[in-house]
Amino acid sequence: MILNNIWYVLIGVVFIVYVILDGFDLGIGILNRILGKTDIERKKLYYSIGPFWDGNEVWLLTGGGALFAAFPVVYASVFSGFYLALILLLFFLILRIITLEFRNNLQEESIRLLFDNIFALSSLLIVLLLGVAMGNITRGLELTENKHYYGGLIGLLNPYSIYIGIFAIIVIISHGASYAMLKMDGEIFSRATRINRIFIVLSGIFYLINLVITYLFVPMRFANFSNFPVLYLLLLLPIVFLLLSYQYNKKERTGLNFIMSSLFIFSLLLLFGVGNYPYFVPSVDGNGGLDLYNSASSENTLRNMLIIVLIGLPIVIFYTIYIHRIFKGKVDINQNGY
Amino acid sequence: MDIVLLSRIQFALTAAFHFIFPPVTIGMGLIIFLIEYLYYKNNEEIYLNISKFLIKIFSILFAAGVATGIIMEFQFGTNWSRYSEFVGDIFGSPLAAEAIFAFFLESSFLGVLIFGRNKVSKRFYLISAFLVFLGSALSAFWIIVANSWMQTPAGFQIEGSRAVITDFFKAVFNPSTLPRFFHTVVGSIITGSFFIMGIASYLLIKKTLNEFGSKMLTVALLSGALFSIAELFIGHWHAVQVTDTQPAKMAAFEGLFKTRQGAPMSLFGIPDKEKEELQYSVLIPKMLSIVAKLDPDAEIKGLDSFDKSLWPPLKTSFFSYHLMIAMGTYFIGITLLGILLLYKKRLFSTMWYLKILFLSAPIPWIAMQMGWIAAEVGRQPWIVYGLMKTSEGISVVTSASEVLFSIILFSLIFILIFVLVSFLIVKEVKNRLENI
Repeated sequence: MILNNIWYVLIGVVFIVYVILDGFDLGIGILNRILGKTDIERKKLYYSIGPFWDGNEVWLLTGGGALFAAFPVVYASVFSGFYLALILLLFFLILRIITLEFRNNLQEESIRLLFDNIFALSSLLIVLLLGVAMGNITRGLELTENKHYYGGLIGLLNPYSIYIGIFAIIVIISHGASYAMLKMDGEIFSRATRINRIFIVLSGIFYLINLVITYLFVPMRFANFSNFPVLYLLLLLPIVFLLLSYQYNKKERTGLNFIMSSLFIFSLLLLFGVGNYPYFVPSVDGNGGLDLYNSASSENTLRNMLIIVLIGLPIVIFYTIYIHRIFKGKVDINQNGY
Repeated sequence: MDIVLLSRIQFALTAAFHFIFPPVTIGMGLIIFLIEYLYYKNNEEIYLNISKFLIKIFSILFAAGVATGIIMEFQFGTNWSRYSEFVGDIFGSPLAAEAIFAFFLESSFLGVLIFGRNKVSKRFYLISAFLVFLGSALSAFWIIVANSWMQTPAGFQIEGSRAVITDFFKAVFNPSTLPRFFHTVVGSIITGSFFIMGIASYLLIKKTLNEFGSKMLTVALLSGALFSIAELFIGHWHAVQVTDTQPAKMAAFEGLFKTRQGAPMSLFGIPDKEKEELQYSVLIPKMLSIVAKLDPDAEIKGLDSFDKSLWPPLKTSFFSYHLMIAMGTYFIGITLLGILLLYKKRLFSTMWYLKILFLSAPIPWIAMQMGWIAAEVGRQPWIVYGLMKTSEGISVVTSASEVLFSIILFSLIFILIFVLVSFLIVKEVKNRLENI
């Protein structure tokens, strides 16, 4: 039973790391036309995420694989239930990779511009879709007795979930801007600083409204908080990190600002996990759902997988940090190769 | 249309299209590492230039592989939810392991190869090249573990409505894992070698005797010849294993309808399901028994040992298998001829041979696809051999029209990717040609 809980946390950790890491390159994607006014500026932006986006996206694949391994019923039920939404997500993920990877191989400036636009749009829609999915999970799904969801794509487009989708876009824009501050100088840096500041404020407003509407429309998400009132303190974390981020933005302490932006995302997703525990997908009527017991693999598999993670993940973290250090500092495209 | 058929079409389409890219990147990865090693050892600028050129092409192919590969990670859940629930306890682990042990490695160090030439030492760069190759080979390992378990399941028991793992190592190293892993990776290296041989030949045809093309051709040809010969033995190993563990599949490959001692090997024929015989057959007597059991009189199970409803589609299995073997034989012949020409110092000036090499570049791709068609179609009607039928594995909720929609969507983006990748590679090669 403890293994099920460990895996619930591990899936959460993988997903949080995914959002923080791919979040900055998705944010750069959404903002590429706004931060980069000229072709050269946009090229610089591409170079800032070039060595990393693929590794970042692997966290999503890891999450998918780990969910399949540890909680196959969730993997099977959610992915087939969210069929069209997931297919669209895959479609935009592919489109984004193609535009982002190939734009610098193309000579025609007009086609490059087209690619930049598609890059921005697909990044935006990926974040929207993931946000809407999270909104629906928080809100709960109309599950049948066999834990299947028949609502289709239309069933996912409810006001609460769309709100969460927009909230996600705002958070990711802010995060992308804070990454641009870290990696860019000159004009792009000043634009990123302004955008980051505005979207920190917006994130705060959206967060507070989110608390209110969740309390009004999905009160059962606060059940865990009521049972352990000390958890209510966690609701303050996002505000704290936003305030710090705002301060560091003003002082142009780019490294600390990026860390605070990452911690803000961490704290939001922590609340998401605490509120939903022990469910992956709660039923909308509050009666059960897919949880970490009824959808899990056997104890054997959970243990084997834990061993795999304990061997593999430290190595991954080690070389990921090592490679980020290789590419530390502002991007300089005149220096051959980066 | 029928949801099972549509889901199978979608899986075949996405898997086959995705599989254009991983084999060539695995093979190129090894050759890039070899050329980087030559540069590291000899410090000759020509190797540096070759490597830079190959890494550019590699990165295009790799990106297409990543883009198309994402679908694979999720579509077991979207389209095969019953299958996913049935095998999740076993099948999910290798997919997760693939991400943790392989995807991170190749993507992270590819970043160094593409963007880090001037930021790291020569030694670190060489190690990065090796790690990219290692990552792609590990990726092949884990995904073949997963697929091999579908072919020859082991290390599990059935509990209620799902297969539950009892022995992780038996499941990972099930009877077909190792022969299939080596068969696929060696096939991939052949694919990468022939692709580079093709490009080098083109450069040599257009600009005679240039050093760039010559050096590139030499490395790729040596690798192509070595691994084509190795594949003969590894392919044999795999065939022996299939005869032992999936006899219905081997019988379909060979068009062997009747169980018999001293079974012949078929060079050609057309299997006829109604008459239950191999028509227009050209046979080598006793050869199948010799090859599969090392005994000319050994008994080989024919299709008559199995209920007709459990036969795989015969024509597809037979032809894909035979085409693969014919092409494998061709790879040995054509590369050995090249080695002979190299030895006689005529390789770089023999135009007709270079033209053949140029035209041969896509053939290993076709052979790889044929091999996988043989492997997957030969497993039918099972999705997990002997345990679950393909028709029982599909999703509960998903509808046929939704699957049709996704097939159309994926087809469109695949066409875009194919055109773009081809265009970009041709452009890189032409650019290079101008700068030789």
